[in-house]
Amino acid sequence: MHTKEKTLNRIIFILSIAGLLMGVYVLQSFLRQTGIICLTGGGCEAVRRSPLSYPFGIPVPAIGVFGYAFLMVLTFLRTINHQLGMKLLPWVIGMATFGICFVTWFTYTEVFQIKGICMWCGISALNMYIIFGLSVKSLLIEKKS
Amino acid sequence: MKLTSETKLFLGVLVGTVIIVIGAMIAMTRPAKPIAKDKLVSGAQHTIGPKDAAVYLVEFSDYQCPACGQFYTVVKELTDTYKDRLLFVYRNYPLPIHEMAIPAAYAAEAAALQGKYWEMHDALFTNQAALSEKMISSLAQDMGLRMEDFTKDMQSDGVKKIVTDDIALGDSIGINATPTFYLNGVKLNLTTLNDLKVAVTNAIAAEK
Repeated sequence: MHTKEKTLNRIIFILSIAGLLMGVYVLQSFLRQTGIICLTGGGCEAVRRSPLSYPFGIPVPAIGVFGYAFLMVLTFLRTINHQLGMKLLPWVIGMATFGICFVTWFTYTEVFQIKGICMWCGISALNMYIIFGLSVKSLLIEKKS
Repeated sequence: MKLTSETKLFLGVLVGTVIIVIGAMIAMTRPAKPIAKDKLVSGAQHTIGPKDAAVYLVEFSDYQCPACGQFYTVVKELTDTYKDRLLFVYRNYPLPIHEMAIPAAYAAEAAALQGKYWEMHDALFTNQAALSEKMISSLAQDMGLRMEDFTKDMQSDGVKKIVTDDIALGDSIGINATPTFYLNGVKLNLTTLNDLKVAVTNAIAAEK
């Protein structure tokens, strides 16, 4: 892997861990039905209580945990060798693309339907956008080299 | 297969993260313990129903929060239906985003000093959409409160302390939204108005 790409992969790995830990924290609150530390007023509670936060019965943070865990494993596997790293890059981009579609849909749902903003969801959405940007950047570097 | 130093580093972090996540999930998914009745009920200024009722419902609420206004009618129905078997406790938890929530809480506490707490409580929720300083004064006048005392009491340290103590209790148990209900010490997760009715009815039935 190119040095720049290696750095980008490390950043995506760290951001995925951060996203995973946030997701676990919010998920436990969904499962235990307990309060969430929230700097956006009662937004997190409003989001947690809304049936819209359980698409197909799955709590939204569980989807986040799965997505970030998948990204974490992919970025880890990319370090094994260059060939595997190249093969898995489209998977990272694919996962990040699904991630940004999902967070965009959920942010829209929060703002216009639930009418409450959850701080953790906002941070996670931003995190996913950064991961997407970095994975695209990796692809561009890969193509150049 | 020989692992590169990069892979070894990632593997170490990955394993560490998995251990932290598993540990956190085990610790955090234990069901929350019910809060002791003493903590939630003792010191409460305003209750409806027998103090020794086996089933007790504690509400942390805000007079200006629309959801609290909706749940008000359900609580009223429950306290009427189960007046001999349910202890209902109202605790103030005015949210800073609601401009009239604190004055309304002070008004209810000031009315309590003239023996008209529940009358003011009902009037505040009934007129929630139009809450204002003028409306509160008008409600107090309609109730026949001594206006001079009422206005003075609304600003008194004693009244402010009752509200502040309720907020401090709410903060200490992690409340960050209204309304929040505790049924027999267990926090209820309500998505519809009917959920509250069902939870209380089931608790009462279980005590038969």
